[in-house]
Amino acid sequence: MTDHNCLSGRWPFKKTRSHTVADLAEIHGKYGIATGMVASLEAIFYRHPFEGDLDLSRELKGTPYMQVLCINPAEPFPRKDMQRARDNFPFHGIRVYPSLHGFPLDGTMFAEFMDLAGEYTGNLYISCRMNDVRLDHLVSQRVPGVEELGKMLGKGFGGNTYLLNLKLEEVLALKDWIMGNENVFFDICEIKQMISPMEKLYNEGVGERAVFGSFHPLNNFLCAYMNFKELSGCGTK
Amino acid sequence: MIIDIHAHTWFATYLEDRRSVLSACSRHGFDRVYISTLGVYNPSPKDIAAYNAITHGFMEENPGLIRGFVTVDPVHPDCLEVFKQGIFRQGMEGVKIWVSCLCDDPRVNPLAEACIREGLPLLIHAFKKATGQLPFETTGVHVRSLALRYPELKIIMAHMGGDLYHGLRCIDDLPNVWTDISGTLCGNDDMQYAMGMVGEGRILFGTDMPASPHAALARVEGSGLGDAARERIYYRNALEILERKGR
Repeated sequence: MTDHNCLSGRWPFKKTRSHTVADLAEIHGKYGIATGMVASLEAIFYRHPFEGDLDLSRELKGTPYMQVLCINPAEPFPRKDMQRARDNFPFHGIRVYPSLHGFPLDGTMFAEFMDLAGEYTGNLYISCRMNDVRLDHLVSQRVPGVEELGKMLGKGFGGNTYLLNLKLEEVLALKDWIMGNENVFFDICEIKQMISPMEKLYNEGVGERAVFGSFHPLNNFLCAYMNFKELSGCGTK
Repeated sequence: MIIDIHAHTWFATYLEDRRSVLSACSRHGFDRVYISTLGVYNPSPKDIAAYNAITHGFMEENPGLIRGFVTVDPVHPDCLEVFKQGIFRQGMEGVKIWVSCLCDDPRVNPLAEACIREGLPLLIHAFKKATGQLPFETTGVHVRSLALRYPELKIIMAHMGGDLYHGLRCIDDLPNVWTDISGTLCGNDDMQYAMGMVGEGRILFGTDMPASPHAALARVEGSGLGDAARERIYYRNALEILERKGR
């Protein structure tokens, strides 16, 4: 099983006790997770995120983990960082953070970015939110709305699109867009809004697009794992 | 043993909520769940009566497992009558106040004094938010104010105050304030921080069902707590706070 939503590094707004790749490997080992698509938590906040990605690439060398780049499409020449990464280390996805970097997903800029990203990777990860916005500290997130996400999915990325940190009601609102493209997925780390949310997703026919994502080290790993077990019990993967 | 000190049925969906709460109790082995029924932010007296009737009905159909906290709106002139109805006639074991007024509003005083007389805990919704704060939504600051006004009052600050880095700082030095871990937030470091701030003796297990209980369960089971701490959080602290001392 792959953890599609895991990060290494410190979160600047609170003490992050379990923040290294070794910590990640320990928790994954405990729960039988074979690998993960790992992003740098610190790169998000760097003026030039590539510096954080370069550091992460060194930490991931020799591990079974796959790196996901942090790219801010609103910064100049994202192609340069994608090429720079390709020239220096293997990576298996690109992750964007609209809620923190503040760019819209439904405009020309992001449409062009998706085309560009498709030249470098087959996996695009969209962090729809980081922590719950009620807990924002110093930085106020702008969480993309369902309509914006729908327009983005309507344009479509050429490979796999992973919507991260969606809430249950958002997944259900996006159901037609998600099911209309066989390469759109969402992770389960924030699906907690009712007692048996995985059963709800399964009964609505969208459970098959759920992937495991823990959001470690920000979220308690076991919460996402319990969601995964519930979904597995519904007869889906 | 597991005691969920903080769960709900909602007026608009209470039939489905009851089913799903019972299902969760069976699945997760909950021995007791303390329910309060909620609805609109500013209920009328008639609404409050309906909410507590729903809670009472749920209790009667599931004796021992489902227990009640009476929902009281301190701004209502009859709030003490609601208290008496809930505690003495409907057999509830605590009082829940929500978002119609801040918990340190002077209108809460008679209710607080009644809770002290009867040795009952007062469960206070408390949630500090960076966005979307309701006009009369209590935060840890208000809980502290009430707790200092009434040091004999047993207070449960719900949700660890929402933003626990705000809420727990407000109550860490107040022995008459416990906190519950209910809600859907489950930060990886929450329990380590909470244990450091208030200790295992003042943390209560709560889920905020019909939200998913996974967050609360993960907080206890996925935070590296020892057996003694887990026992305290799962039920020992609840038994202590529910004990009707003071009658």
